[in-house]
Amino acid sequence: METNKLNRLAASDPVLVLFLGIFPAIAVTDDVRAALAAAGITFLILVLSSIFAALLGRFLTAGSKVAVYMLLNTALAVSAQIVLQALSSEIHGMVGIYAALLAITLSIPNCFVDGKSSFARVLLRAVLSGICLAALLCVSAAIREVFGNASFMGLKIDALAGFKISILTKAPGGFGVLAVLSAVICAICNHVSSGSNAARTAAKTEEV
Amino acid sequence: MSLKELLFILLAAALADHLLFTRFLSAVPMLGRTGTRKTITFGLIVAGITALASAVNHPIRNALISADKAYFCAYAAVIAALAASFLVEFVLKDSQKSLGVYYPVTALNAAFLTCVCGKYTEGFKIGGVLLRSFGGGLGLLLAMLALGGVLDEINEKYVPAAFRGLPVMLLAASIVSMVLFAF
Repeated sequence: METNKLNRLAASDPVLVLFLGIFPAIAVTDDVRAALAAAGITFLILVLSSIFAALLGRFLTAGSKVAVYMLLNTALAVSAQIVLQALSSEIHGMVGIYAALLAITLSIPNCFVDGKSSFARVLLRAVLSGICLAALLCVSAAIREVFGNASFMGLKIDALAGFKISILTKAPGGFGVLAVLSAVICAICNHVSSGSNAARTAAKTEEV
Repeated sequence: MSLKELLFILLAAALADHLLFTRFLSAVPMLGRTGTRKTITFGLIVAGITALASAVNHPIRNALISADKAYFCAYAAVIAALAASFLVEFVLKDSQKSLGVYYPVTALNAAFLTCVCGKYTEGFKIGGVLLRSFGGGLGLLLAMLALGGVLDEINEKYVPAAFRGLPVMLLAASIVSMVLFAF
């Protein structure tokens, strides 16, 4: 049961499972504030667009879904960016075009939502995806900012100033950190599933 | 604009100012694993659609910026890319080369590149915009081929279990990115 939950949670991450938005995700994870803002915007857009997908799914043809959802998500992303700029122009500058690109990319899974899927299930999947994506962005951003820039949320960490690994804030570092994080997630999932398989086998042997 | 300048714009867009690995911009780069011929066809179609959409988007973007409505630039770019993708699909529909299942991915990549190329072609004339956008698409194609090449050389037998699949792909992308960083 626990294994299923964990695997389902890992499988909800659109970046790790479908490679969607992998590049914008790397772009916004060199600063924790930018990652938080992008995660917030994406979470909001994922949930709202899933609600629309669940409501509109039965009325749209497969061909028109791509265009409708892409335009819908862009409209949501533009609105979110206007609100973000009103709240903080500094963070808006950091996130730039990437939050919108991340949101547009994540509209693709909605194209596979049909009218038969229940509203609660579609919403639950969007919330899970948003939470997993937010966690991944924040952890990746924290590692890259602390070790690559010797700072956290823009505050300098003097103890690490002499040990900065500046490549971590660049593209190769971004890919590397994401690779290590996805390997850790894989290792945890493998470990839990092998443990649960062993327990199941032991239980079956006992039964026999 | 001289031919030399135009060539410089094309090469800079395809290699040096690489949208994928220096600005982290594209949608599904891992498609490099679907076979070289398909990748080349897909990359060229994306580059063509992006160039077409950018040419349409350029005057609209300039008008939006001069009207102080820059927020809607992304929206205009996505509409232009969708229209261009639809046009290409419509033209190819009767032939055997219809985009088919690749239509969403192609439209998505072209929309991405059109959005971004609009941002990096400010002050360019129409010829420059066309080449910059086409170069961006070629850059995507080159990256997919390079990634596909690196991934084909990896024998997963020697890769630790946790790193098999996506992690090793990302490490390969990191290496290719480091190479392109040298430009």
